[in-house]
Amino acid sequence: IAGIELPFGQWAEVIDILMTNVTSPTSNERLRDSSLAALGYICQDINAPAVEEKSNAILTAIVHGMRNDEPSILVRQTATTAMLNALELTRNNFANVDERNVIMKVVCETTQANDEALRVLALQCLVKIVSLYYNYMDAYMKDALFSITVAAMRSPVDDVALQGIEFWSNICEEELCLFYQEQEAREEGRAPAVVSRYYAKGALQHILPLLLDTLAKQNDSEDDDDWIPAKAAGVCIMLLAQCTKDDIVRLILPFIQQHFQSTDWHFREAAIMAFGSILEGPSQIVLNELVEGALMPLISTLSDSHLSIRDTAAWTISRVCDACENLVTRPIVLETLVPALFNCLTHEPRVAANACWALSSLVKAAYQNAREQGTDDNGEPDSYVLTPVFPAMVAKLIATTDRPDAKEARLRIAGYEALMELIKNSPKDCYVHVRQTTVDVLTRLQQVLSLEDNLMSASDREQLRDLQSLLCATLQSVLRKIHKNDAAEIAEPIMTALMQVISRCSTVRDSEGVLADALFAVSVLIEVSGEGFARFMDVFKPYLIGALQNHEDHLVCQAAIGVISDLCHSFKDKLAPLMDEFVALLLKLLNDPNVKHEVKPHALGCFGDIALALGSHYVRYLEATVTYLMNAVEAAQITNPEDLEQVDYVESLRENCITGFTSIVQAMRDQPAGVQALSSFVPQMVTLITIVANSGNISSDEVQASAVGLVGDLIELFGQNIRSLVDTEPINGLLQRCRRSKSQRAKAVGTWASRELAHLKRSGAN
Amino acid sequence: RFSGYKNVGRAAQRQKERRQEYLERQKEQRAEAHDRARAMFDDDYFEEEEE
Repeated sequence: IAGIELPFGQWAEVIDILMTNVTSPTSNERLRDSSLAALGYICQDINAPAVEEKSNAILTAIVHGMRNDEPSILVRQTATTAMLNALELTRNNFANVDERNVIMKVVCETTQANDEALRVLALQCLVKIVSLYYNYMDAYMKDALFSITVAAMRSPVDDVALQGIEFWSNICEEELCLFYQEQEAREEGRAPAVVSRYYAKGALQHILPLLLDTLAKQNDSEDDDDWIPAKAAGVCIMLLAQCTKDDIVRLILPFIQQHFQSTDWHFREAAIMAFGSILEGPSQIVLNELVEGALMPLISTLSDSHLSIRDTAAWTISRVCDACENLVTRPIVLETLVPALFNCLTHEPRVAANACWALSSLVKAAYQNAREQGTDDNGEPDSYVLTPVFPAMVAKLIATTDRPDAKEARLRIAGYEALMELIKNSPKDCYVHVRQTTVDVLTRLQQVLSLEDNLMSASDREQLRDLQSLLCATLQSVLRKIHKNDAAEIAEPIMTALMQVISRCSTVRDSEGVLADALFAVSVLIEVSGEGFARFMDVFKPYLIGALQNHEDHLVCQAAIGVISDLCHSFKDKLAPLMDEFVALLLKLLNDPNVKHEVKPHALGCFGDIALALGSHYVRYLEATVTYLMNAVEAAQITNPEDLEQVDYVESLRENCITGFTSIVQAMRDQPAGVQALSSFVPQMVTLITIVANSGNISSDEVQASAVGLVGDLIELFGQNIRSLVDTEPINGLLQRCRRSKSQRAKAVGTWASRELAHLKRSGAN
Repeated sequence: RFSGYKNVGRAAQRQKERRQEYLERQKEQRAEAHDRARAMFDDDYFEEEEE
């Protein structure tokens, strides 16, 4: 009830009532416990100022319930759970040193409780606190947090040890984030808001030995989905390597060297895991030196007798391929590496899956290397070092996806992902195999489509959905590579299969992912076929309209909007007869309050694509559509810069509004009625440009480039009439930022728009 | 955190990247269309300005 009423400012007294229930000496255990549980749920569920305003009362109750002399363990557990839920709401309390001290004291004391569950809950609070309030941690780190978390990492109780490790993983994530923020601030010549205290660097020599010990405490069972301290330690070492860079190598190397050939598989696996975990972070010189000596022994561990070792070795090789492209693609290495990975494709599913990922990384490395040697105008190299094994690689990957146990360890997905990567990273002399793979993938899709009706179990259906999605995604990657004349030949059966997929999705539950992937594949086919796609329009249109009307599935809607955009780019004004219907459907989507908000910016951007396609004929939709763009400008405000979802949404809204406006302005150039109609909207467009100008680095280079592009287009269209609107400090500042940008496009568009403005000012002065 | 262990989260990541790449391609198409309509890439644009 509080969840419903508090956001409307009603029943505000509930918090005080619950607090009194907890603090009153006359309350019994059950009342204290239930009241704290209710407070915990309120904090968890309601993100409203009404609750934040009451944080003092909430904290008073929680701290009271957590204290050492509370006789009931149950009450202390419930209070600590409530604290965990309340932490986001206590920003103001954390900003006040006295209140912060009280919270930290009670949480730290609770980590020492005798009750195990209570200790874990208190540690969870610390894990969350260090992420939310990193910049206040100095006073507590040395004397309390370090020793508490190190003791937790040493605990024989898994749940306790996991929280100790998680604390340091969170520290690393925070510090990595701060590192990038500091770098960005330095580039922009300003001081960063919060600076890293380098706790990870400081603690490295103390916590690394503990993590390495933990790494060797793997489960003997082969259940791969358990989250245990050994795995958490591996992830923590990966994060530490990114934070501490070269420093970690010196400290970890003795462990790797000592245990790489240990007779105890636990230590052998831990050594390989440790090696694989530090391959992102250290400098390239250090990495090359590290990998050079270890590569061949590492490849030989792919045939170790122990499953976990082969599994970890294959994962480590994928990391090596990502980190040291030049080393892994030398012919002498490939001679051993490729057959060893092929062999792993026949091992247990988890080994084979990691071998697929290793092949994914290897083909990327080889392609990248070949590109650096030189490419044609399309950016494709003639050949590469994997050309001789390319057909075998395709065949073995396809065979892997066919394994009867391919649903285990996500093997089938890994196999198709590797196949997609292989196709994407194929040079010209492998084209014949790419073309053949297109046919093979299509055949598979047709086989799958003939299967579905006979299947019964829910798990089989889910497998089949995954497979259809993967086949559609693979079709996208082969179609991107295929030559236009070959595409024309194969377009018909592909389209028939895709429409069959789409048609089945409308009758099968939970198939929005498949439907979206099928629509993405249609998009690529439109791009490749151009106007040749026209022959499918009559049959395809009902499916497209169905997808656009599928307002509940945002992924499907978004994909359908993308298809319209692609049709616009390929068909231009030939699409005019269908536009009334498309525009009406887009407006309906924008008017539906139940459509997920992240879809709507794409509909706005799509108006722009329609304008680009129709040119001056867009005037018939001008009034109806621009109103929505105007409303979106109003909505494009960031009210909480820490709410990343909101920031992304607003960025997408601004970006799509700017490109939408730009397309419409350009389309109206030769349409006097349109220019006249647009003139009244110019102030709002300039408001949007000014918002971007004032938003600094929150807006990306692309958005800033688009905004100055719109400035130039408006000047071209309206000339002196809008000079006072655009010749302002924020817009001049934005133009200058773009001219000096590292982004080529921002630089070019910024220079052009600046000249347009200078020209306007000169001609105005004459 | 589990998704950061070995290649557990890689497939989901790749799927996300593919959808992102698709959106990026559309943005590029728009940007190219916009720039084509501007005088900025005309060979003589900047020369005229110099004059």
